[in-house]
Amino acid sequence: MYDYLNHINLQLEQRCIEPKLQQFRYLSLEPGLTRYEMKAYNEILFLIKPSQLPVGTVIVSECRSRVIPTDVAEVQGIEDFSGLVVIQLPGVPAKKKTIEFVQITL
Amino acid sequence: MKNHKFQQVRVQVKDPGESVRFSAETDKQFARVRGIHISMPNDDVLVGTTLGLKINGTEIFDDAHEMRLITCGHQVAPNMKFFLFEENIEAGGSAIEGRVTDGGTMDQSSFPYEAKIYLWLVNDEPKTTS
Amino acid sequence: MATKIRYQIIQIEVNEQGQIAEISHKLPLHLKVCTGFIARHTKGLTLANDLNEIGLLALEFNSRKQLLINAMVGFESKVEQLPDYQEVNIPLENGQLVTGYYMDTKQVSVSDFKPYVVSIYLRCELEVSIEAKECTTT
Repeated sequence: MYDYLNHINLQLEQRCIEPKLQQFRYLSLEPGLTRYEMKAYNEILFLIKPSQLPVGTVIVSECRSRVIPTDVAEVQGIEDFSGLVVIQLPGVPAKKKTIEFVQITL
Repeated sequence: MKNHKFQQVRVQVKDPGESVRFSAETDKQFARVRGIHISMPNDDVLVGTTLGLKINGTEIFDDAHEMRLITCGHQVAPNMKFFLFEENIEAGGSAIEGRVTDGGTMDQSSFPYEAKIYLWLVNDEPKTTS
Repeated sequence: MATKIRYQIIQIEVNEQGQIAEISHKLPLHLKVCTGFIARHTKGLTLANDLNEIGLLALEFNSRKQLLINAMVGFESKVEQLPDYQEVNIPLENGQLVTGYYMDTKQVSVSDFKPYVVSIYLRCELEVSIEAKECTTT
């Protein structure tokens, strides 16, 4: 299985980032809400399972933005976001769902 | 050493006349805020719209400060767009608190929009004027 | 030593409304410092008036070691002023990547959308100028 924690640690090393803390952070998607804001100033958030989000979800942050593609289930890579992270779902989620991130505090 | 960063703070305004509080944090790796620039999706929503801003607890702009005074049109050269602070405003992970109040002059079709606040963060010393 | 200025141009084609175009551009080995940038619409849109914002730009330098630029890109209906590069002072590591994204934020209906091109101009120098040296040591 793809070792995302190893990938994250390698990334941080290559980018000369010494984290103060590495932990999981969760976002709950609530039925009825389509827009979410996560504050990640002086932080990096790695979205470790992008397939948790519906296809067409738009994530905008100060370093990276992404539209969740149709073939997301086949994508193994993980990406990081920072600053104000805005998550815009294409539609209202039918049930509550938890999205996982690895949070790196700088 | 990192010398410059243009940090963005985005604030979504959903309704005419709405007053939105926001908070953010400056990048820890930069010592001071050199300047500010505001970008709005169109000039019409600027009419009467205000921005209050505090950085590190210090009031930079009162809540009634018109946004029009800290923005400019597209014909202004990139290097002239920023409203420069004459005083030393500490960055270094400072808390940013503010309030955007829409002028209420446009109808609902112009909403929601995002006000984008750009902070020019630097690591140099402020220029002193004699 | 006299500095030698080189302009690096990164062109981005925007073909869909709301498109997020990834930027990954390798800078040549011999460039030592980036001293300015401009991001502008190059061709595609034909509008009567200026638009403050058609998209958002984020750029990181030195293979993601430095996030430095968040900026908006606007539309200029006619040229009225020589653009003065936004000054920066970014020491460049040898031949590293400039990465980031451009996101179209122009609010038009899908049928009204027209493809366009955005260019990012990076003003770079072969040698670190005296001014740049002063800034990096403060």
